[in-house]
Amino acid sequence: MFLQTIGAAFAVAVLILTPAAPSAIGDLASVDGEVTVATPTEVTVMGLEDVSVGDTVSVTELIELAEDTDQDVRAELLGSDEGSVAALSMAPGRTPALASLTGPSIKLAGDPAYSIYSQWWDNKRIKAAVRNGTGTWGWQHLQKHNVSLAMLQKTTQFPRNRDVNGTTITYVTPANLFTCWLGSCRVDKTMDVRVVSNNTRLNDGAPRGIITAYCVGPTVCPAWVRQVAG
Amino acid sequence: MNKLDFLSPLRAEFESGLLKALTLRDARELDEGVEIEFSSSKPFPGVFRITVPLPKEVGDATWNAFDDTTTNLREWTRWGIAVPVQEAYDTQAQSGTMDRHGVITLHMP
Repeated sequence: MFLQTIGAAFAVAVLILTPAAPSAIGDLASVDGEVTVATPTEVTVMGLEDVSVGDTVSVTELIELAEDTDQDVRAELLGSDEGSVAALSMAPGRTPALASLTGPSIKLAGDPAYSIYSQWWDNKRIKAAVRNGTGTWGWQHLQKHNVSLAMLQKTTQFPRNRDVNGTTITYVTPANLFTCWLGSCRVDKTMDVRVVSNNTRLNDGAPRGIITAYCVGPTVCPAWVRQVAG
Repeated sequence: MNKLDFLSPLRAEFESGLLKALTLRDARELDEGVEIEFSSSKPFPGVFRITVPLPKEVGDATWNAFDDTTTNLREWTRWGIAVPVQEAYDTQAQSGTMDRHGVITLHMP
């Protein structure tokens, strides 16, 4: 499945990806219509299913697959710093479901724990949010596990599994580390990221939000997982 | 003994809730909280033990530390016990200390 023939649509991407002045690290070049990387370059992509360590995919196809999950890995393959994580804005659209849930009467105003750090839509168009929280929940708690905002957003927008149990939504999606060289990229590592969210709507209109998130296995997410592109 | 009954909703979490992938072996209340022993076959096989602090009453410091937006015992058990237990298992099972009986001790995350 991973080694599918690349369609004509990729030709456009190849043209875009061929740099006028390649950088010194991980240079991209186009050889016979295929994008190649001159220096072995590592890149992390989240949300790709059915990926196992040792699988290979062409550079061009990996770029396309990453784009399908809103991840631009071209800058990383080019070796520039253009791949910085961009905060996702709230997409316009209808008000998400769960409007019937009543908002608990809590003291939101002036309580810094309930300040919204960021919010976005998940893959089912349900509002997701992460609040500042405390040492036991929310953004402050996530820092124990070295979790980034991009990891939260990718996991909730492109989950492999999304389980709803009462007011709890649990998302799980893999992060995959590829090493790209010449025309292909090989999966070197894969690790699941789990996000647990409390979907109870509070009186500011947003859910209580993400309670915890972490990599499944280690206590602290490795740096290569955190380096997922925004 | 805690006047709040956390054991019933805790067992429900193992039977059909967030912890249904884990098997509850024992749960007993101690002065400092509830000691939970459970086993799992995957992804990290073994027998595990963790002590989770329990509130003495609704709205006390321990209660509010995990969820000050609810007064519902079942709902609090989800956020104050089930989620931390799952998190501790997922992030400490490979690094926890094993005692001479083969039980791996986990800590509140």
